[in-house]
Amino acid sequence: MGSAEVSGAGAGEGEVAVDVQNVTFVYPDGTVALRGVNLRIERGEFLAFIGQNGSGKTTLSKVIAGLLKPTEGRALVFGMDTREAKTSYLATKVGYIFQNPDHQLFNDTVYNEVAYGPRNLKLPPEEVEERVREAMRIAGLSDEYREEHPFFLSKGLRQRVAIASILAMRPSVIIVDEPTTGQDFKQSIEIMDFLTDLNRQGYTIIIITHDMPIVARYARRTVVMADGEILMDAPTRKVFEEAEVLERAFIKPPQITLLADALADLGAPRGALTPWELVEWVRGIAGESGSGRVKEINKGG
Amino acid sequence: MPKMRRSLLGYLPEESPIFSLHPVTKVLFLLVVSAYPMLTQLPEANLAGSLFMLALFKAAKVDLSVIKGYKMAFVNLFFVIAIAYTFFGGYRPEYTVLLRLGPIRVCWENLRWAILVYLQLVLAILVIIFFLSTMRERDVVVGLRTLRLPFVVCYLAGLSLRSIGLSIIDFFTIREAEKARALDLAELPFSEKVKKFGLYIVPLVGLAIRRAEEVSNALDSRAFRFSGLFKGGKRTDYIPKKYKIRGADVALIAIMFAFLAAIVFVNYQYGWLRAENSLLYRVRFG
Amino acid sequence: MPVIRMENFGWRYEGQERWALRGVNLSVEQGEFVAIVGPNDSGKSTLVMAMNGLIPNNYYGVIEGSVVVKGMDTREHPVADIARHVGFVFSDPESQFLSMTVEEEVVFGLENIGLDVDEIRERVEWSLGLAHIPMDYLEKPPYELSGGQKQRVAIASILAMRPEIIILDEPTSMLDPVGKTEVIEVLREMRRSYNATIIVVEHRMEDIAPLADRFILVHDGRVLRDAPPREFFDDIDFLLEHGVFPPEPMVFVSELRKMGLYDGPIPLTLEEAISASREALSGLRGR
Repeated sequence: MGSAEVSGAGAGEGEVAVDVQNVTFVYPDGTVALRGVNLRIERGEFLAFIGQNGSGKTTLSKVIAGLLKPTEGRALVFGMDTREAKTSYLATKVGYIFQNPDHQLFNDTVYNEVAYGPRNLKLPPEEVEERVREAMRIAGLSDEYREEHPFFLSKGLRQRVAIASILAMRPSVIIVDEPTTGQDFKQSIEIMDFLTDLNRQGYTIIIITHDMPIVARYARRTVVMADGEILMDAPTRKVFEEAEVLERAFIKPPQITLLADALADLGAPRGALTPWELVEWVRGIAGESGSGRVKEINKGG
Repeated sequence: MPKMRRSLLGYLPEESPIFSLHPVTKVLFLLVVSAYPMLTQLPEANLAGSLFMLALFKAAKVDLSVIKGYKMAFVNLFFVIAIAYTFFGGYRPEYTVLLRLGPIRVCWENLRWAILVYLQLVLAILVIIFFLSTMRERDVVVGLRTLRLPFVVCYLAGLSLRSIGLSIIDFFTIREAEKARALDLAELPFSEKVKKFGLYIVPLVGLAIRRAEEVSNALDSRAFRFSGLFKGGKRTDYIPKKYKIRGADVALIAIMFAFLAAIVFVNYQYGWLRAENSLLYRVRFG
Repeated sequence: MPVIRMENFGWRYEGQERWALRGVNLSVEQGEFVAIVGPNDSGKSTLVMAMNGLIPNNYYGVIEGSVVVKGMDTREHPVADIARHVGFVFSDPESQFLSMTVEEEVVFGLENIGLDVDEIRERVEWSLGLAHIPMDYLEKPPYELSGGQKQRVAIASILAMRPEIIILDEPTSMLDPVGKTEVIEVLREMRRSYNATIIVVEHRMEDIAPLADRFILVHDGRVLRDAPPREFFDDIDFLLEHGVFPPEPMVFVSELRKMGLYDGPIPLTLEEAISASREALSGLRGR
């Protein structure tokens, strides 16, 4: 089962990785996608951006990756303004994994695909080779795939190739757009466990998702967006307690959180994120045999 | 600035008197009026035609900034044509040499032809831009169906429009994906740009192939047959029936054809529209 | 008489060694609401594509047994004929949207089956109403619609053909939460006011559980379980083992049951889960 509480790698004391300052973004057709957004992300965090389509979460993540430049305000990536930074600098700091792997596979072999970014950086061949080897290993692609054509691989493997091709850039921050869309339960858990693993190794992870149970299980911090603004930015548990704010963003908390809320008068932990958390709470009460007193279980927070 | 609506083909005005016309009128406009400059060498006539088109843009409430988007294309086109005529226009002793660049002679006679051809093309292009900025996507299909083209042709036209739309969206995503892998075309010199452009083709085609399966399933699941026939009858033409050809359409179509006939007649009977009648032919150097 | 009957049905895609489906015996009655669940690549899509003839007609492969839909053997009838009785909604709202306006999209199937103009107009109004699409959307192109709206147009364009059977293959998987809710709402409306057989493939079961008459679990090419929802969800551990994650409140109540705190039926809705938990916990507190 997915591990919910990855304890505090970095958050709170670390280096500032991303600093979005008062950013407004207007698309060429006049659509205002971001309105004066401020956001600071430290190295080693695990965040989720949630909100409806059109809420601005994808635009914000693309601004962070430097793929879109702010219309007003500025976005700093490790202190460098994205408008001044070169594409090659940005690509080595923030990696962006698109939802559909088919948008980002250009090459005829898996090897060339993963080597594509490092070659664009004009690295020497030995270093390219080393990075490809490393990226493929981390992404769980065995050597037998090196000469395969990405187009003919299964969707799951194509996704891994896409991830490996980003890892080969050795970015510090990795943004993943909709990692679990179209995946079943087991695949979702696999992908998210993999991202959690990267996070433990020091990568900063940002996921953009509609999948609330996944947010509940994995993200330590959640940014709720609606209509181009950040409605709330807080630890995930806290976010799911605020049903009214979520409602404004047209988001329903996970059912288990709603169930916990409905049982709050019996002492259920508010903002519970998984069934196991509630089970543990019940075990706690059952443990105090006979007393009938409901014991508060305060996990994390 | 008038409010514009994005369409697959360009930008459309929110409101325009053109919208009340039948699509077939617009399709014929494209086919017939773009033939005018091809039959007319006289640069003054084509220039007048272009000015008329600009007036038509205004009348149809199409924002002129649409044309500004094509500014560079217009400038480049002129140079391409001028260079082509300089190199391949040939040389005769009676030509006026304006400039000598080593073995290359820039001659007025060649340049004059370039101007003539350029003005023909400008008018034709303006007609096309006008068509694109007043035509909603469905109009294309309705126009073709009204012209009684075979069902398959009309439907393929519609389906290709739809797939172009999807490909444009794909294209922008792919471009971002390239940037995320440290390749920004905007930062590259022109020759490299052309080389790297081929890279877009791989994912674009890949995506189209994957989509093709779903599209063909979706077509079948809605009882689609390429013949346009089904067991026991012919397919209904519902959408075209919603449009009515009215007096204005008939009048405009008549005018377009009459003008076409007039051009042909005047040109071949009297030769008024020939290049030699142009003021450009009175220009003398030295 | 069942509207769909599969007898010992099996299918193997060309070039693959594994059977996508094997030994499937299934019959669906008129008016049933059937949910099909299971992990990816377990054969769910193959199963539903066999129900409207896309398999074997549009794919290369090896077939076993038979599928008979409304009396038509799918091996003998083209998809276009079966499509008049079986509507199919795909998961990707983007690539199944075939035309440049909502109106063309909804009308497309109706033109194909040669209905007359008045009939078409009436059906467009009726189906858009059922799918909650306002009539002034008729002229809108696809890129002005949200994913949820596109998917509802797709549903409307199928409904308009008034098929007796409607199959939806993961209709919400590509949608955002609002889009998901909208589509589920339309499903509920269809169940209430349109007496068709509805077959839905879905990963997220919390919204479907209260609607379905019957759940089918497909795993590794086999139908492993086929039962009414309450019975189907009774053994949560079995489902978890086979790659299906039931709604979290069900998982919780099932744990309560294992602890001996609850012995009632598995709840199908959040409300039922709340009262089941309360019942269980009150017993605990009174001890």
